[in-house]
Amino acid sequence: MSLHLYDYVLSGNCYKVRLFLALLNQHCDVTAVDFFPGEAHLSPTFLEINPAGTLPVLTDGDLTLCDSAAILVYLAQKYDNSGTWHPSTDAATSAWIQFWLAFASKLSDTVGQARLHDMLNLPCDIDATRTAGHRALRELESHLSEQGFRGHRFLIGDTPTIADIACFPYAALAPDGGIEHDDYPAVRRWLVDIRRLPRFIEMPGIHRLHDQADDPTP
Amino acid sequence: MTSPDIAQDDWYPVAIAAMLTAGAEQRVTLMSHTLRVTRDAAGKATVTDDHGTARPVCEAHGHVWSSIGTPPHPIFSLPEGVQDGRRLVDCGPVRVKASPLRVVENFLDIAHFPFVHTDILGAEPHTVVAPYDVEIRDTVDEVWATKVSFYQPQAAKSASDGIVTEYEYRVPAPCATILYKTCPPRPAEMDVIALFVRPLNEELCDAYAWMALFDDDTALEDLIQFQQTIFLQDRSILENQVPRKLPLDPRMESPTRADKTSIAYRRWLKRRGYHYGAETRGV
Amino acid sequence: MNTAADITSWLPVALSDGLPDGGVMRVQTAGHDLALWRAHDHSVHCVDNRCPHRGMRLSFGFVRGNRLNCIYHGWQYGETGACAYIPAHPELTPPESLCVPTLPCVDHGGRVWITLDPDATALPAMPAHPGLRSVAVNVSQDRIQAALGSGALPSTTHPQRGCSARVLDTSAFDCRIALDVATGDTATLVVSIQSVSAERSQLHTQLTAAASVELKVAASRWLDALRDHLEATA
Repeated sequence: MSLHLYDYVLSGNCYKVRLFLALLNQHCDVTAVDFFPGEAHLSPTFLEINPAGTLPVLTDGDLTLCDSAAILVYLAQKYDNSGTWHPSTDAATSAWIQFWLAFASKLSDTVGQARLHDMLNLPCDIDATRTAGHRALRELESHLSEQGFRGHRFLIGDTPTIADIACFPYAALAPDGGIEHDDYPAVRRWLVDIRRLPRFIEMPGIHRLHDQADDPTP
Repeated sequence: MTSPDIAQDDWYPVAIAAMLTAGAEQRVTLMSHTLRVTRDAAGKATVTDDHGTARPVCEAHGHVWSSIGTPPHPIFSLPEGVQDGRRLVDCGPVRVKASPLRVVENFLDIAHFPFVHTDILGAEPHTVVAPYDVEIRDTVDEVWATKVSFYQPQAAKSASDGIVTEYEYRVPAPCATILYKTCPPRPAEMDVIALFVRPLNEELCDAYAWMALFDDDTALEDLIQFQQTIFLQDRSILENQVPRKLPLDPRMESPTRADKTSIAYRRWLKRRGYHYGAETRGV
Repeated sequence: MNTAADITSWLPVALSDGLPDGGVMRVQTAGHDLALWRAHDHSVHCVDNRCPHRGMRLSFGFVRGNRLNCIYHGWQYGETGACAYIPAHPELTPPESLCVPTLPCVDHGGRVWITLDPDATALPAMPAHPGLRSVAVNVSQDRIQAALGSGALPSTTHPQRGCSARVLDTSAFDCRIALDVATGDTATLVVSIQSVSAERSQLHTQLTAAASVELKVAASRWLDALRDHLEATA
């Protein structure tokens, strides 16, 4: 029995899973699926694994999960010994986690779509999509500002949860779709806090925080 | 404002050959012209412009190429592309809000590896760029950089440990560039990684990465995604260079010895009068 | 004597709290693209947002010690803007001519200020209130000033967080707004307006006294409402 991820390296949704596995220090076998240019996610072989033809897919023994939010919930409940990544201490906290997992889909449908348009030439109404993306980032900005007043660095509290992992990738990748971070100081600070987490890994479009490296300068 | 006269007579990639199936039609933009790319049942690729006029077409190096002008020469040759035993890998077009010339120049640069391709193509403290040779080969009118070497933590998908990788760079056309690099499984051969760029306009382009490798072990998907990882790391740099066009006036930017290839490339563009995608103020 | 031009030549571009040690951010104003950064000695600096080497925006860079590093090739710039180190050639002493232009930049009154006027007179003393938040508004600075000057400010209606607002006074640097919260609490908001472009501005806001979380949230929600009001009426 081992974890197996069907992955596409440029997908923010796949990166949510890779990132969370890295933060949990949890090994996982990875199969790359040629989403672009090969459209292998629509191939008969892949549709046997996931009839919806979406990525990521995680299998654990007989279990197959086909949605990044579902995968994050599963990994947190099964592989997070600390119990901090998906706190279900009270009804409100559980509900807020659900809220941000749903909000992550909104980011992927707006900011993520703009990125696919600008990067891989996938069709969409780019102006409307960017406008909706900015609206979503404003929502995130207001919430993170308020979290700052409470002394909380992350979406739920002062420790990161799967809510942060779900929302991080497309918020961070927004400039890939022509949505700059300039107007969102609280979002920028939150992005840096996530990038500073121990065992954090990057994806293309999100650079290493080089200020943490040893400076070889004389 | 620059004249497309010289530039429009070059060949540019308009489709991945293997993905243009019989009966298929693709619409692409080349230098602000809309082109229709099709393949008939006999397998022949055709390109027509928005007036229905047939444009020049050829198939080479994994791609269909065309032009909005009249190319005076056949497309450059790339013998490694038909060498037995190589795997040919189409990595797909990626759109970049930058001049095609900036994209090519970045491909010729090694000094950015530790900072942009961290722990893959480079890593601090191994930042030194050793001296290498650059020439404009007049017989073929190409830019070549040779004896380029750099310490790389994971130079290719097939490499697991850090090695000093040896490179040669070739620029056979202003919007096409080829890298020959140490091939971990076949020390006597060089892997070929090419980047073919189609300008949509002077500040927007589609970049097609294409590889001809000796690597029978790595899954095709992994080879593609390794190359996409590298290129998408570059993309956010390319979209944030100011100005978007490539400056040809040497006073506008400050190169060092590590930039010898880029210096030669800019000089070669200037000499050819290739100004499409170039910032020519001050020249 | 300060002339009006001297006084207003300083532009607030961030809250002091919004730029931590080692932080880098992009600032745009009046057609200028700038990078604002804070060294680990806590000093603030503003440079042209363009590495002289290959034109990369320095706001994508990173800070080590008291140097700003370009993300592209790791070129390091000191507090004077002079290039101090080129990783590709560690043995090379960069020539003095190799530098990135700097602008006067000060951390003053809880805000970071820059000026495009090299002869600008020093800013007068002002209290360093704690920052609340910076809010981007897609409206010109002139229109925001006119709206604040007209006194027609929006109210929010939530039973606990609702605020009514009135302008107390306006100076060359900022505008003070009294907020009366539904709970009976009151707060004074200091709003500094930065022009970003002909259509965009930033409001850098502070509260004049220590405030509860609830009061800060009320003020923050009112700022969202102010932004929406300004954009709807522009």
